[in-house]
Amino acid sequence: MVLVGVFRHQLTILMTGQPPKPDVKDIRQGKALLRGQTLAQNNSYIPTAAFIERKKYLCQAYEDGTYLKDKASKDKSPTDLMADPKNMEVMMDGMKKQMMGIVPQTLIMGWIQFFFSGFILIKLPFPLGLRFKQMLQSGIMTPNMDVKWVSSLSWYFINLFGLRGVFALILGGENSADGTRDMTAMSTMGAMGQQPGQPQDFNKQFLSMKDNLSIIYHEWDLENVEQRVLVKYGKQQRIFKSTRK
Amino acid sequence: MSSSLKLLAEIRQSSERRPFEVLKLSEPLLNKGSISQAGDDVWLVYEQVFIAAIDEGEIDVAKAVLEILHKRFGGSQRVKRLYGMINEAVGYPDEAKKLYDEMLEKDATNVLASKRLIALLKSQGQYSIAIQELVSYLDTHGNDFEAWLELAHLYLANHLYAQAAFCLEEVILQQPANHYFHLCYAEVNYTMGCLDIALKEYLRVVELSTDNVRGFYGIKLAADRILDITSHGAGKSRDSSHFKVENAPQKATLERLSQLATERLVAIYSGTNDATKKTVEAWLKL
Amino acid sequence: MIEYTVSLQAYAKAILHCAKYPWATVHGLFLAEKKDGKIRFVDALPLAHNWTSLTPMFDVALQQAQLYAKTKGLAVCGYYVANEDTGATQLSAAGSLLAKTLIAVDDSTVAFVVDAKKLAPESTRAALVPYVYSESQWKEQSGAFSDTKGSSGTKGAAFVLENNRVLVATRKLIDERAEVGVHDFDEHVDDVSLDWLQNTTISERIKTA
Repeated sequence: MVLVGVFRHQLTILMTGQPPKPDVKDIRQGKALLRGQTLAQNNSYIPTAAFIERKKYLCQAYEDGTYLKDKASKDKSPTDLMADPKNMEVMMDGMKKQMMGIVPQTLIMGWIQFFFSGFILIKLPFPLGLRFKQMLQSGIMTPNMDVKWVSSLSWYFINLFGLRGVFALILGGENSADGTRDMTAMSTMGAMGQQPGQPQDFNKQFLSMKDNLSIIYHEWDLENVEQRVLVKYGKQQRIFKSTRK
Repeated sequence: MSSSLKLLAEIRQSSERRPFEVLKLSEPLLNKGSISQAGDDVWLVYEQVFIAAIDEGEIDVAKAVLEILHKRFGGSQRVKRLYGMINEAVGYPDEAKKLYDEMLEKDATNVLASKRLIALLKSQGQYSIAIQELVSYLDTHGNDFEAWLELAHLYLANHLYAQAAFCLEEVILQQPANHYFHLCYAEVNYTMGCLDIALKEYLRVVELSTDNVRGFYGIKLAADRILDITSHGAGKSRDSSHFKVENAPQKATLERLSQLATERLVAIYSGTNDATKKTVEAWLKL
Repeated sequence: MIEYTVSLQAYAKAILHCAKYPWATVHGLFLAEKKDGKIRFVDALPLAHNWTSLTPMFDVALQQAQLYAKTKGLAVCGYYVANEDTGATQLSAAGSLLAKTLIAVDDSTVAFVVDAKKLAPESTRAALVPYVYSESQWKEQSGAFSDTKGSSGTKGAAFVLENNRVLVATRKLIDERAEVGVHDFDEHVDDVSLDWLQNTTISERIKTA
């Protein structure tokens, strides 16, 4: 088990290689969105005039697609975005990684099924309730057997999940020997839409960010800073009525 | 890990510019070879020593260190940048510029190279080109607040206060809890004559950083100045026309703020020597 | 003709202040003793190395410097600045504006720009380029400090160093790294126990250098 895990880790490293580098326009596109987020989040820290100036500018830029990587693609549907070779690469990369997990997983599973199904592997030194039967004796159809006995298939699964800590120890935290990830990967295979590496539609995001920004009601955080400072330095009782003019 | 390595790491992390200390700390390490104790960080230490040596004009040390780095990393972009820096230091800025341009041509996302290029332009006194470059860099990397800060510096050097204020607003948006940026913003506004904003920002400074001396000096200055302008009213408008005070608080509040600043400054200076204390007290007109 | 003399204390302190922050624009003030039409810069007050084109802290420091000078019977009539771009010896726009605020108080004010090239060990000239205010602009005084016995500058002002020892002693202090002991107003407002007015430790050291 452990060896298979280590082997898989090394192989993954070998196969994945360098992630493709984003080019300047990709970065620009992402950072532009980030700028909108920051403005939406921290808008209260700058004076109103400064905020309005930025809001106007960013909204206009989002509307016009100033920051879009490919301005012509503004009106295209998201499927066309797949045509971008870089996006293809990203997706392929994800596929490759998943294949890496699935192939050995399937092999070992088949192997185990073939050899060990129906075998009893170990006996637990302590008794357990009937409820554990399903967990510990999968692959064995003997309803009357004591739960202390663990079938090989069950043992395999227990190891699969239990070895995570061991791998973390010998391969470092971010390793790819962990089989459980593949399990989750398999379960989401159906929902391709959520797959990581799916190209993001920046135009859509820009427009929704624009909507976000345009509904912000701006109030400068320093409108009543005089009172706050006077309170902080013990010159005034805290008052609760609004101090805005 | 030896204590000097630890100190070096500290200086590295705080990104303070203390080249002399860096060289002094690293000299025995380099000579005895105990630098390898740094483990994975050893290359970072070399780079740090290199930059310190450039700062201090110790070109020979820089060259020796660069050779080691070159042996290990060959033509990596990061090492190339160091070659550019050494070219700058020994007075071949054009060579350095060529190197940086080459690096950018190869990989336009190379942040280090863009920054060096801008620094180089700045050091040659080509402020307007440096500003252009920095603006286009920020168009892409809009979340790099240190670059915004540098742009503010460049604008200030050219007396473009409103532009500098804009840059500082960007910095504050990204780092709203750092009192230092509020301080800079306050001072730029004060210099521009936006006394109302300056006062509020100074207040923010002392709110974030208790008993900040600059903050209280600023409050005292701004509050007294606003009081002076508003009390003389429109009659003395010749002098006050370029000041913005519309959003300043009421007179009573201003007086209390000025009073508070005086009190805090007296308290802060209570432990200093006589000459300083007397001067400050005279300044506060006590 | 006004004769300006720069003492070791003033020269060394200003130069050390610049040496402490070689990567930044650095500026400060000179305190002078006035006697029979002669002006002798006896001390330097280091001001700042950050945001040197902003006025509020400069205002505070200048006002305090003037108050301090009054108690010592001195006048604040010198301004020095070292440009970030060490090759430049022009008085920057910010520098001339700040120096102008000194002119308003004392019309004999001189602005000095530190010439880093003349700080090299083999240099035999003072590393200060004086600018005198006349006809509402700052004019460079070429040929200042050219010899020890007051050859006149172009516009009725002569600049001399106190004696031959000034340059040697300053050089020695730089070699000894004495600059870490200089504290300016910038540092002072971060830690008020650092004495930018008297700079006692470094003053003593310069005296004995």
